[in-house]
Amino acid sequence: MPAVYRDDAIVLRAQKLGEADRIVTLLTREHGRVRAVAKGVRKTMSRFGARLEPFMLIDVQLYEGRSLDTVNQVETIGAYGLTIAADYARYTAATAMLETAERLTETEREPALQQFLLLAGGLRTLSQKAHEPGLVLDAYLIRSLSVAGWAPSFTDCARCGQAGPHRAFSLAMGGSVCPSCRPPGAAAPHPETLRLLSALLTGDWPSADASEARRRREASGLVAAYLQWHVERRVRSLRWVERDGDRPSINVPANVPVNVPVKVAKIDVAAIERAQAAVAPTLDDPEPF
Amino acid sequence: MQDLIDELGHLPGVGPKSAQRIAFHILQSDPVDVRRLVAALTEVIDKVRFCVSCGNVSAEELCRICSDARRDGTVLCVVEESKDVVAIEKTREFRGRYHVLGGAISPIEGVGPDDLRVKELVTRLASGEVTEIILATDPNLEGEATATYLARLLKPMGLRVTRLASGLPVGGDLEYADELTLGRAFEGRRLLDV
Repeated sequence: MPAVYRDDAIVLRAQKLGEADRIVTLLTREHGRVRAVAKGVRKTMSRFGARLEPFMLIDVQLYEGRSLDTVNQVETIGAYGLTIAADYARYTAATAMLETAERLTETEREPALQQFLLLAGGLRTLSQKAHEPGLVLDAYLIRSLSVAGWAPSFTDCARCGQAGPHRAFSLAMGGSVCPSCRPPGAAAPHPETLRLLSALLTGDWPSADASEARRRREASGLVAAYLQWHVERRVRSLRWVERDGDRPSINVPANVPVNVPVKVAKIDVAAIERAQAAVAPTLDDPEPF
Repeated sequence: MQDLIDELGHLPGVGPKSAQRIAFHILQSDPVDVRRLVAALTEVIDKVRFCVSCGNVSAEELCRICSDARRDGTVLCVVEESKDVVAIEKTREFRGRYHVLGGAISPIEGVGPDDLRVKELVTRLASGEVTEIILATDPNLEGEATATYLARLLKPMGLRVTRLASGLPVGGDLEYADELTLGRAFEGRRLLDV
């Protein structure tokens, strides 16, 4: 008899398999990262195809298999996908979060409760639209790296512990460094940028929300570099993240009548949210950031 | 024989066992049938290309739909793949033209807007003939995100941008619908005009 188990999970990735199946990568609460086959979910009559889309927080039952498990039943806990996909900047930020979570849970079936809770909270925060998506992404990246054991320091010296704030920032040494520990080529970000990063790490949202756009840009550059430094492999989705004030990357030909600035799409998000609220169960909603 | 089995094994949905079965079937078939299959494969490689206007598969420079003057040039239906054009054509409901993107935006797979035929779409709109764009990307996450991106890009051009409805499959039972699809069906309900 194959072992059957049930767990809460976030869908990280869904890849096509054969005619109508999918391989889904799940980050579960108790079983870490798991890959499973979901049979027939691409057919329009599938009962749980919609619940196995990326960004979904689900309650899932799986059959244990030799290399891949098999999805047996799925219930929705948090349907974040629709709200996130209805806003392109949020979608690109959320995709980078999923890819980072996948990278930081390298070994399959190794429990990663903190990473699960952090990602669930991050996706929930993104779907609630309380903060600018780039800030939520950066907060998630710093915190998930901290959980993975690479907590950066934004005030005291990361090497000798001398009380800060310090001017220099070194990726290799793990954050702010004092003048005597400073290695050659260390960055010198603006003090406000370091304060913003610190606010994102500790969850001081009033300060983070009040930050200037150029400080946010500098902060996200540092966070992206810090992430790439530690995970070693490239996080592909980061390239596509649309930051505050970005425009669509397509160059529109000169003879096309476009009234710049480009506005955010008017998809009826309120209606989607109302539909979601109607089905949102209160099982185990994760705490937002 | 092994070469044939290996080649067949590369086809989608064909595993090593099926590849072996097909290879032996070919071996036992009438040579005339096999030559017809070979001719069809060669023709696909040699003659089929992509329509310069919409990106659909075509035997000519312009596909059958783009060169048909009876089609409504004011409505453009944007789809992910050529096979979506076939599916929509089967409905016989749509008389406009198509634009095939060649996929959907999926940053996690390394596919961004620049990798799709978005630029070609915008260039096509320059003539001003098109007044409505129907976004018919798949109703999954990547498809929704692609539709969101395109809507944001195209709306400022003063076009009517619509999205295919999502909801209950015809012939199904309401009680078996999942809550997300049912939620979308409620959201997209229409007035009964009787």
